[in-house]
Amino acid sequence: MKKSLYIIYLLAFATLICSCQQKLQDLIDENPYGEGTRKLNINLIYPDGFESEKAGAEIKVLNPTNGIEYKLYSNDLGKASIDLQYGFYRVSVTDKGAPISGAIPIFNRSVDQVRLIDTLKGDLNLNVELALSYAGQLIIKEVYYRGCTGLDLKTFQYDKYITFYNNSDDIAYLDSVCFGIVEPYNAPTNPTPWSYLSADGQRVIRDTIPIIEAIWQFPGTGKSHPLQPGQEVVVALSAAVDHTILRPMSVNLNVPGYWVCYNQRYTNASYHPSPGPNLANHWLDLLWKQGTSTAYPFSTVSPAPVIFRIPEVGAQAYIDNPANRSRKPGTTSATEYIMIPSSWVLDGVECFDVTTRNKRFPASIDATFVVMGDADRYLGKTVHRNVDEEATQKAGGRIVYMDTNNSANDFYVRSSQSIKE
Amino acid sequence: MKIKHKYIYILFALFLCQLAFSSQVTGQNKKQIKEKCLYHFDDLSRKQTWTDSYNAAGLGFIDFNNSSFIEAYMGKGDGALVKYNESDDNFNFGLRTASYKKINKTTFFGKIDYNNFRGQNMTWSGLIYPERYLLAVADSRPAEKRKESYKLSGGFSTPIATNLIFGAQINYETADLAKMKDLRHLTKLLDFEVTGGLIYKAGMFNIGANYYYRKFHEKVTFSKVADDDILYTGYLFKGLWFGMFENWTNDALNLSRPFTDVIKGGSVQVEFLKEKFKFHNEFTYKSQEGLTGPGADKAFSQSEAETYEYKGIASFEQDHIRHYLKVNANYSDATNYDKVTNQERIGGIYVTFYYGLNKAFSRRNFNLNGEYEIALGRYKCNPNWNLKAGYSYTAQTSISSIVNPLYYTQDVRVASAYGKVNKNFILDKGMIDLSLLGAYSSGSGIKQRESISENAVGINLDDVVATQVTALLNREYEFLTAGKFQGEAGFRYSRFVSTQNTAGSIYLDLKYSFTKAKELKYHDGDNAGVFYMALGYSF
Repeated sequence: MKKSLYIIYLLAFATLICSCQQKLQDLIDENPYGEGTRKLNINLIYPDGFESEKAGAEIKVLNPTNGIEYKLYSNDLGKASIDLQYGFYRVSVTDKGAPISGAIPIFNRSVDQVRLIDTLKGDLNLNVELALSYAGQLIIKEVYYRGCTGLDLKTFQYDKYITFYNNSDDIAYLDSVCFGIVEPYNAPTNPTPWSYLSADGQRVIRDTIPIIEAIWQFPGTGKSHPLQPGQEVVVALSAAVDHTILRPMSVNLNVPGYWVCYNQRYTNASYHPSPGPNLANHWLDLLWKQGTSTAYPFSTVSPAPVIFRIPEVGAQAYIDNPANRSRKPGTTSATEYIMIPSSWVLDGVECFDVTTRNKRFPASIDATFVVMGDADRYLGKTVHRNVDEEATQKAGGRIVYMDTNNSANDFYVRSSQSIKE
Repeated sequence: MKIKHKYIYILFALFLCQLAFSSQVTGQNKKQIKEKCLYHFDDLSRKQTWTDSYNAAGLGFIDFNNSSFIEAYMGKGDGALVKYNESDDNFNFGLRTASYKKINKTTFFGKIDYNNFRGQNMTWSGLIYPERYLLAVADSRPAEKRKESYKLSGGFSTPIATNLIFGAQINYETADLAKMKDLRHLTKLLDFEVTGGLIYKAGMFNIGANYYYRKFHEKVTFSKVADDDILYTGYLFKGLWFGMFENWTNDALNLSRPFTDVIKGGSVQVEFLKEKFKFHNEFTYKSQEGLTGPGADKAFSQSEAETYEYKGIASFEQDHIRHYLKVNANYSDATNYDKVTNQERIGGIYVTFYYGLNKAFSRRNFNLNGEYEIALGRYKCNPNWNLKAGYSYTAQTSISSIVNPLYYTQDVRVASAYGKVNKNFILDKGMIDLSLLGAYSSGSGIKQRESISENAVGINLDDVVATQVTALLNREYEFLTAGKFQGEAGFRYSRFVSTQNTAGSIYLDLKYSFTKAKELKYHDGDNAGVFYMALGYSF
């Protein structure tokens, strides 16, 4: 009896060891994604007349919580599918059509907050209506906003600038071109309040964008300031002086032909000293200013600059009309923003510091974003457009930059300011 | 140099002979020494069948009336053969006391331990006990860390009816750990454990059951004090050293967060008694739930685990020879989930959207330990010779699944064996204990294997990259599986202190252990040594 008890004890122990070993093996043999994923079926809807473009569109599905981006391509029916874990995703689509009379149609759409929830029964079907736009004539070529470091090892940020470029074969005129930044100053951690949830639960950014703090405009009577094909113009956003004397990593913004955002309503002399003599008569007009800020607050973290024309009643009349202003949805703040329809926008670029931020531009302006993180702060780095090699070749060597209204494709982080070259 | 060593060996051998001779002489006068002077608290406690049980009611079964000690201690560790988060140059000191005491039919147990620790070159963990969790927060700049901890235990066992004993015990630990350089962190620990149980004495059997509850909580707060633009990388590890690595800012990658785990469970015990033979068995089940983040719908991640434990102790105690066989086995299955939520401002109100739990990391672990011990000598509290040999086997498999459709598995098996011998010499006014330990451990397995989910149709995998600190993966795997020899030598001198009413001994305890590994690639050195000293009073 005693012996048999010991044998039972030993057998039970041996069985326990074997079953534990098997459980360990089972873990590494299992597919952890077998449960807990949902299928996202994406259906691309092209504008009327462009249905034949459906195949091969690049679809990016970004998981903002971990920064992983999946790249898919649509089939002949304009469809693609992917198995995803629970979460909210950003789906962005960019496609180029066949040229029509020399103009290249661009199809873009970015859908934020695509929700894959554990209570979802079956697949999630997402119809993506692509917005039609054409490559622009006047584009933002470079934005320098992250600052640099001086010889004294102190950081410096009064040397920010933005560059506009004529990317077409025709002369562009800067006259009446307006410049501003979209609210909020930094890319938000929550979805922008200038958005809404559509009937199918997807977040949609409004088509009319809010300009914050100020609107600057190039002066001129219509053809006073031509920009030849392939020519660029630099606009100093703060101090238009030569910064390189004390800070070799910085730039000289006192160069003939450059422009500056300068107006005596901005009284902070560190940000806005009197512009250098080479910029005489190259001060942008300050069409509108909101609030009491003494310096033009262009973000050093994640700005969203935009250039546009106000075509109808004239820029000043449009701005002066209270119907064209709005307060921020969901707040009691009296701060007002000038609302600009996206169809007036010539170009805009959405800059993020981390991928988890939320967008401010609708897809028709910029379907995605370019990321310049904190590691790139104060090193003289810029976001700069990629060269479109194929288009450049066709243009006989005149540099043509990528313009797909999709900053993730169009821009890269440049190690130093291009105007230093 | 060799000659010098030779003299040392000769002197040591002569010293041992002298001790052996004197112990024979003094052995004849043992009656003059009160038995209490000979007590070794730890050894005595270890040779009970119920003191290691979760059921505090078993405290009543200790076979001595009372035993206590109070000691001041210090330790110094040097050498690079340490875990990834440990210091290669550390010092600690503390004060501790513990006691078993029977008053009438009630048995009490109490323990207090204060420890002050300073370690240099510490990094890769913001947590005090990172191995308890399935995810971790860390930075990569080595610096000094300081820790203060207090451990308190209190338990009792008392009969509440004929053959029925009730007992309860509380264990409590609190600690503060601070890193002294940017990127610095302050970590506060609170660990609370309570058990309560009953034992029914039924002839040749003691049958017990108890409830178990434990809550441990670590709150990590990262900060940067220096007013400079130096950027530090913060790490949020989610198993197998995969995770998120960014420049640390409270906005971009906020690593500060609480970690809270609650364990509930219970044990049943069956002890068989026959004359001098005891066979104690304990089966334990624990269910663990943990979360990080502020909690409720703001939790960042949550985990669950189940643990099954078995402890078996067989003892056969005769007058001059005592045998002990211990077998422990435990199996745990733990999974950590990313809790996917986000907040949106709708109509001026922040609304939290909940999406679901994504399995991020799973780990299964199996441990088996067997140990045989034989004690020779008249006194259980003070054997002349104590010999011990043990074997331990650990198997662990892990799977990381934070980047769909890729997943990564690891399989580690580690086996170790050890032997230890203790010799006690009784002198006129005191006694000496010498100990020697030798151990070897080695492991094998699969460091990491990448797999792709069968659902990954149509995804361009070139763009799907999981970020991992492979240096830590290599180091940890090497630490676990490398062949390691360990040796330890101990010396303890006790001076008897007796009065008419009290008996005890003042002792000085010295130990040095040395571990050396072979063929290391990912460590800065292949050995580590720890020196330990304690001065105390046993009574």
